[in-house]
Amino acid sequence: MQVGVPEMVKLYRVVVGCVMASLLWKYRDFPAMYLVYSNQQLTDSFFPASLANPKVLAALYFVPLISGLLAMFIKQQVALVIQSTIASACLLGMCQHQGSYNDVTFLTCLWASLWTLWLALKLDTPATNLLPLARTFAMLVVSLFFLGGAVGKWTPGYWSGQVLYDIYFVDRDYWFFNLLRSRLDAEPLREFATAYSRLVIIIESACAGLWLLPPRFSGAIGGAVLCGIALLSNVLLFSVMFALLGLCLVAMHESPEHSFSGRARSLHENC
Amino acid sequence: MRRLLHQIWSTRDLASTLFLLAIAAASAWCIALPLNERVQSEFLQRHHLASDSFAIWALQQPIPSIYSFENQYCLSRVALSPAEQATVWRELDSRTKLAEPLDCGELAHLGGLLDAGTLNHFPTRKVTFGDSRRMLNCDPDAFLYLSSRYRGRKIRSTYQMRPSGEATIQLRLLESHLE
Repeated sequence: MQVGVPEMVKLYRVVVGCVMASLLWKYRDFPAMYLVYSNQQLTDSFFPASLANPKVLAALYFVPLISGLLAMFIKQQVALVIQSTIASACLLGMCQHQGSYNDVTFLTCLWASLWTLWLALKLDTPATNLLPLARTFAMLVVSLFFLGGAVGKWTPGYWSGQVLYDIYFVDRDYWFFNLLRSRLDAEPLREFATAYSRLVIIIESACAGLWLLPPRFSGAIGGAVLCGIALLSNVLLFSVMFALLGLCLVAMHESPEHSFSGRARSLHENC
Repeated sequence: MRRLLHQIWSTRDLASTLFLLAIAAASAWCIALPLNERVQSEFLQRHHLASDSFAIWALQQPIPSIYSFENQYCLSRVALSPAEQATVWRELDSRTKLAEPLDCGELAHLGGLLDAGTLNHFPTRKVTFGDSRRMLNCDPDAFLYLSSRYRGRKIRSTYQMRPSGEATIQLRLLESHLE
């Protein structure tokens, strides 16, 4: 391996760690879901039998966690390629399984794992060339998710605030919405929902262009927006956000010689 | 981005090319959503598990589609006539929050209604995801009516749930039509 590779392996582990955090954030619900799926199986002609089987679901869920843990202790390129391939394949399965296809957690984890697979394949590239690519790809993935979230909301129902009003403002038990319902009457609450919904549409649409900004800034902005969404809607959404936050951290990362302190040290040594 | 493309091109970087193509393809499909009716149909069918085949549906799953479309659902013990379904959608559109037992609006006579409301995405999750299946446990049969809208396009689907052996429920798509 080239000099500087350990820095990239650290970034690899940061993203894998964030994927694991996303999966573990769902762990509280998973045993109950597994029991329901096992006790009340749903048969249909749409899903293949293997992708309706709860045991397969459990395997698809735990294998990325176990392989992610192993990734914290290995740095051989071949092993990391295998680990990221297995994780990506399992998470793709989660996105297509009857019991989990709708949960965006596994979709963000899938794309973050694809990023780790790409990085593992490129670990023999000098870090000076690889890091800028890694940061750009990280923000391309984050921007893709904002794009996917934005375009589906370009509808009259979201622009009027009706959809988010029904989902959150009417009776969602969360501190932010409880506070609003306690402070606002029905009509002002409905108007607030409209403003909230329009702000969500505008911010998500704008963030679809984050990849156009320098990675350090786009990573910081993306991270702040993702945290804001979770904190103001539902902390359970951190299961969706952790994987993307890991990519934002990569985007914000600068190699030691290119950081402010690194440049100051270099300048001092040259004087 | 220009630097990225130049670097990928000059080094004939296959891994980066493939990754970039995957991101570009997913982005292009998303951008086409507000512009193309065929793409809108594919997205709407995807959210109702009504794509032409599982393969077509599965191919789209990696494409982000989060809190998308205006999705409404109605879960009922009895089959609803088209007029009754229209009443449910009209009530939901008029911003009435429905709860069991029904005691409001024109839906009070629909005694078989279990639940109705708005969902963020993939409204079929009402019966496939999490512990929502518990709701089906006490009922010999149940029907799930779904309506999703995106700009001028609309899809309506009807599912039937029926016990099929011990601890098994058969989920059957009765009809799905795009407007």
